[in-house]
Amino acid sequence: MTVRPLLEARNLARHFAIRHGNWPRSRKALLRAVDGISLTVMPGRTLGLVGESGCGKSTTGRLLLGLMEPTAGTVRFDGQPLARAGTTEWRAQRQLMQMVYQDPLGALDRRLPVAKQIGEALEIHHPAMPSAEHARRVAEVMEAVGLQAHHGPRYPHELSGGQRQRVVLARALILEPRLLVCDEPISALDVSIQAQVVNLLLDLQERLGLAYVFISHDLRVVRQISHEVAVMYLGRIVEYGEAEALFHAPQHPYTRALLAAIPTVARRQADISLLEGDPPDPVDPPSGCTFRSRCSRAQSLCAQSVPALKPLSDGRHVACHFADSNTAVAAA
Amino acid sequence: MTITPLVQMRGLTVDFDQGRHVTRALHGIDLDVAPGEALGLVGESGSGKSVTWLAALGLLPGRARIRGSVKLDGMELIGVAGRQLDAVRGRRVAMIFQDPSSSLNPVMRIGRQIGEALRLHRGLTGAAGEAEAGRLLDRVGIANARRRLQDYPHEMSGGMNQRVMIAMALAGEPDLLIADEPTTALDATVQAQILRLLQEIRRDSGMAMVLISHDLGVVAENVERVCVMYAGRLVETAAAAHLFERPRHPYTRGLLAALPALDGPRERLAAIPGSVPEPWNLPAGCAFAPRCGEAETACHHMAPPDIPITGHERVLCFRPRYAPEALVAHHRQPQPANVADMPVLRRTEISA
Amino acid sequence: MLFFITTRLARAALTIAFVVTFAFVVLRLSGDPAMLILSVDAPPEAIEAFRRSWGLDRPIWEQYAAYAIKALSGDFGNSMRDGRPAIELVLERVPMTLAITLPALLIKLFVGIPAGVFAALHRNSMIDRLTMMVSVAGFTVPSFVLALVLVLIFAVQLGWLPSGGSESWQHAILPIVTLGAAGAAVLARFTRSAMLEVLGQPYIRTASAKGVPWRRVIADHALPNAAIPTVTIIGFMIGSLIAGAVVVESVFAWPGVGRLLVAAVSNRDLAVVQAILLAIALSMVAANLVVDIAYGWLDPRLRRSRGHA
Repeated sequence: MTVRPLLEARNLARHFAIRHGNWPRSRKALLRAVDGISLTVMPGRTLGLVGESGCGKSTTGRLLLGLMEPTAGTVRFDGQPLARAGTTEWRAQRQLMQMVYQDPLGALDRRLPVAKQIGEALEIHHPAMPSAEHARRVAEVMEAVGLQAHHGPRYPHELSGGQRQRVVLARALILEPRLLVCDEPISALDVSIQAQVVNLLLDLQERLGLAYVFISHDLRVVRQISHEVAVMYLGRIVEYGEAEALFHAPQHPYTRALLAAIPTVARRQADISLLEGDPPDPVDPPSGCTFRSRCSRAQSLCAQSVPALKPLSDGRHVACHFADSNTAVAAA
Repeated sequence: MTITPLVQMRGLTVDFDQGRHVTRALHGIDLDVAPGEALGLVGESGSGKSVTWLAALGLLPGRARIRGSVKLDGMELIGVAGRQLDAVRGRRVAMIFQDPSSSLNPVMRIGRQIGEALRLHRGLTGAAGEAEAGRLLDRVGIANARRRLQDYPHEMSGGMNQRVMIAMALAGEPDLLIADEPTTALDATVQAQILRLLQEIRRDSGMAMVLISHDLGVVAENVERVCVMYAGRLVETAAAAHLFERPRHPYTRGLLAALPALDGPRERLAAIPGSVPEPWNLPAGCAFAPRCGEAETACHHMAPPDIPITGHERVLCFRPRYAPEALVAHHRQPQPANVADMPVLRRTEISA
Repeated sequence: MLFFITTRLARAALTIAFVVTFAFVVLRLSGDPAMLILSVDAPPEAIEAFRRSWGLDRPIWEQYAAYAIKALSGDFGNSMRDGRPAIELVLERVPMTLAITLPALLIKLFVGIPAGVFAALHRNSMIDRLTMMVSVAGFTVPSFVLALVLVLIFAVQLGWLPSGGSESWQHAILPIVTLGAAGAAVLARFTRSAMLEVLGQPYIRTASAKGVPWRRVIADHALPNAAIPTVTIIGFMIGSLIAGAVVVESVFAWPGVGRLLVAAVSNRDLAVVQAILLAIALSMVAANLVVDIAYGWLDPRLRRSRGHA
């Protein structure tokens, strides 16, 4: 028996027409923020979405939830295409898929006690719910995320950063969703608090069978939490596969560089090869493989054609003309 | 053998006057930086790692009250006139900051911003100043350096702006560079470039560096000695190799355990429970005690002893690990210095 | 650049056309000039003749078309009161208005800006609080009240200065001070908050950290950045040079554009009111254009990037 994917995106793209500079006659350009990506999230599993700023990972997150209309491509949730934003079907779907943002203070209303904010979605989606039932659900979800009853009447600024992120989680969980899209959910937190939230997310997944799309630039945390990982560069997926294998033996030169760039406690002063320069201007990317301008192994082929995301023997997908020879190098 | 320290900090205390009450951000820091040394300063937000150096250089706002002593080559920096500090800032001690793009003046060309430091500290103006500014930009790895001098900060990426900040810091040929979270706002690949650049510069110039970061990995790869701060105190100081292999303080151990690994089997993270106390609401005794799995009664009531392990390593704890038992026992006797610290703390709480 | 200026000019022209049209319609609908100018008990034939001679008997859109065509060729009609060209009446009053608004502008700039900067630099000090108290008073008290208080003190009590009229330079002092004080108060508050905002920016700390003496940090780093938001309000003040003194001119019986406007409105002297409104619109639009150009000059972020960004 095969399990049906919870979320399935096919050739998803989002382009923005932008103006270069502030002046009326300035050049119009097309920013391909997301340029044809396909993803699958299985129920109860976590897909990590990694990449540097501007690679399109946050835009992807919003497209997956239907918070933004795609330029092309489709998203199916539980087998059904995403309904048009604002319709009744869309609201029903949105109950089951929620977003968690990076900045908990910005995501919360400063003028409302947090328990009220946590319960707000219930009032909207289940206006007929008796108040005792409402209170019980709020108390339950607060307990699930590790908030105590006395936190309920407090205002966001009276809580610590970690507690605020728990409030945001509780608010997302109150409608019992099946999918959470977390956009850099722990980046704003202190190191010692990050681990608490990561553990909480793992516990919730185990208990509630939640699926996550976990968007982050922190590969250490992504490895900790993800079953599958997609690495994005300039709006495209360059490597996509099972987390353990991807981290253990990265195949795409960009994935390898990203991993090498992470400072770790274990490795001191190791001689690692670094990428040169900044990521290119997304409005004016290099021809062919967009990574070639920073790739040490680029050849003339890379300038001519865009490498397709091809499966390797271990089931992983890599978008590199030399993926097979990369394997050979990694093995050597 | 003792090396005369470049910077000698003794009992550095910072109080922020907030009208109604006074909040103590720094509780008496003792710290030496040797010439040419790379020192890491690790801690979470609010631990006081930035405040320490902003206070030393007189860069805190007027409502900060600073006590104690910071000596640079024997010259006192605390309580001296601004004019004397101007001769130190940028010339002897330079500083770079977390968010490079907002740390540069948006309406001034970067050539002029670098030139300003060259004029102040090395008397270079005109063509000579421009040539040197170009050389500095080239040194920090910016292509087309001479042309880039005409650019404004918004015309460059965050990584490039941090390179400009570094070039500006090098303009005064300082003996010490304070790098305050220099890569936190940057992408991973750019962060690695900037850290490598700092290493190269240090190797070439022999300048000392204090690298302030919340990221243990960044510190581990780039410094020789590490200070761990918690709630306005240094809780552990040790050589980097020792600190990461044999962390003595429970907080250091907690930070390391909370860090997900990049390889090996995936295990549940050992999170430190609770959260960092607010500076106006510090617990009595050891500030870490409420979150510490090894705290005993004394930890909740008495200030922990500051135990010197070797010349450059110390730990602020009743029950440190990897420390000679006799040394710990000796220092667990009530120490006059620590007891004297208590009433100050109390007074702060009462007025708070 | 050329394109930038042409679009701005086109937009400005549109704004002015709108103001002119709006004023035209509102004025025609708000009362009958014939009654006012000829008095209510004038013979009906006289009123009828007056209306015909000024075209008031025709449909409003015909009146408007005629007015617009003439206006385009520079003819803004004649005053109904004394028959002289309206534009001439307005233009001869402009120097009188400028004689008080220009010195007042200097007071605003040279008192308001330094006061704001000083208050920001000494935040929460006694001087800051005092400056801000005076400033709050300056812009909450309506200018006619301030004018009357000044008259009471300096003209009535002390007898140092005349209370109204325009016979000598002494007559200009009280109007100038009244206008200047109110504007300086506004500008001081604005400058102070712009300055405080800038002083909290990381680049100010960077400048100090590289050893720039505090005075130079203020002069070279803080002021140029604080100037950017302040330009908007200064632009508005420049825009109101021609007609920003209606109340003050009325209180002090100063024969400027503002007083002409009040008289023309109460007389239903349509052509004159129209001409003044046009002048106001023109000066505001011009000031806005100057502000836009000043922004580009002060803030490189608004300039076109030079290719390789």
